[in-house]
Amino acid sequence: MKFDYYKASSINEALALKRKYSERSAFLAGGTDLMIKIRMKRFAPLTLINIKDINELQGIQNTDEYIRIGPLVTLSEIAKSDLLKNEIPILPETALMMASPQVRNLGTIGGNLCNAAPSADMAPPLIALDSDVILVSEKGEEKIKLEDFFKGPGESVLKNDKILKSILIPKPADGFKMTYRRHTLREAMDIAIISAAVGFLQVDGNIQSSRIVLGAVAPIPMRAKKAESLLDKYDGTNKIFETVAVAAMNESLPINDVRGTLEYRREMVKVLIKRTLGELFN
Amino acid sequence: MKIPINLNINGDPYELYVETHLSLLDVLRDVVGLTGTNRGCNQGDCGACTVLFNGKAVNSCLLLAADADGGEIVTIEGLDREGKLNPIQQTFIDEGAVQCGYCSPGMIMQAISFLEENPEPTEIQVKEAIEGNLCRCTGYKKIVNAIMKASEILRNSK
Repeated sequence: MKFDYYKASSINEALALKRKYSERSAFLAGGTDLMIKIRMKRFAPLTLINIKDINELQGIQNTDEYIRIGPLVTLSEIAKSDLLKNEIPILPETALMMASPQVRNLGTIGGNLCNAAPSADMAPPLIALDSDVILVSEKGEEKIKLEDFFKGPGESVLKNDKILKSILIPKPADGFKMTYRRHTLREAMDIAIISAAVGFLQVDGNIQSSRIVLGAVAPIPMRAKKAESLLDKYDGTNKIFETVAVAAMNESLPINDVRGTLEYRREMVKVLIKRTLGELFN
Repeated sequence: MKIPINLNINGDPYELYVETHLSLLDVLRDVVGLTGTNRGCNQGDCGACTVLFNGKAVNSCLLLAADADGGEIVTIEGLDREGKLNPIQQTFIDEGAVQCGYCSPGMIMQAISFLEENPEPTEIQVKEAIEGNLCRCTGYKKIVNAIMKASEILRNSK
């Protein structure tokens, strides 16, 4: 499978190359998803545009309100970042759950999002943290919620003319608790059968701003909003966990595939949410 | 499409003119002739093709040779010094960690990268470190022993 290959050294150059070679082309970052797609003949590109050398897409930056992660930051860099370990430990923890050390040394956080797999592990925690993303086209920049970024399996709002420039994560308030759990047959390398990020703000025993984000149970990583509003009504007893878990199960829209049946996935949403809530409230 | 690339492989400079669709693994094995790096699954699952790229362990099947342009690569062939095996290679032999041998180069390259960052690992950490390396002989126990023993030798030699 032959293809042409160009290297871009700036966002503008990358966008110009993408416009010039718009037919069957792709941006190449870590390549850990893209190379497999090409080899499995699920994608036959005419042109790849390497964006790895673009400085503006690198780095982790700290501000008062949020942390900015450049899309080219590798999963290893996220796992090892002291800034993230201190401020948003769920992100290094999630990165470490993914793939293998060798894949994490290549694979990027931006690639995980732009590949737009319903099972993308970085998506549920980042959505539960209310992250924004900055997209850039030749017409300019726009900021949208990460929640609105995904459009279907393998599809995002990025069309031929846009590039993901930044992931902005608001710093969690004091009293914010969160966890991300995945259900897999094998811990390493495996893709989640289902996964869930659960987060909330606990103030004087009350629960606010609950977030329940499910992976691999719908065409896109999805918020279970009914379950979230039920969790906001937490009454100090564990009885509500079952209600919340059943609501999340009923909101999920899984399919049958090689990793699990529709029925199994629905049931496991309930189990995983109950388990996760038990851990968070312990 | 062919492009010129420069690679430093095991300390030697290579000026190559390669097809852009070739992986680093393809180039190492079929162009340069270093066949110690093995091709297992060719999709990043098995770790048999692990090499060090700019000091980090990566699956060479997932990296285009074009992307590696300007980089430093270390393969299993580049580990011995003055005819003496690297301590990790030696402990793999001493502990009987090599059965069919197919996974060994990848295991050893991953172990080198891991021990550099974690000179005093626990057994659990060693097991996690080789989560991306499959041994179809399932001789994991001896591989873990070999890496633990190598960490000891490396610590004592410093």
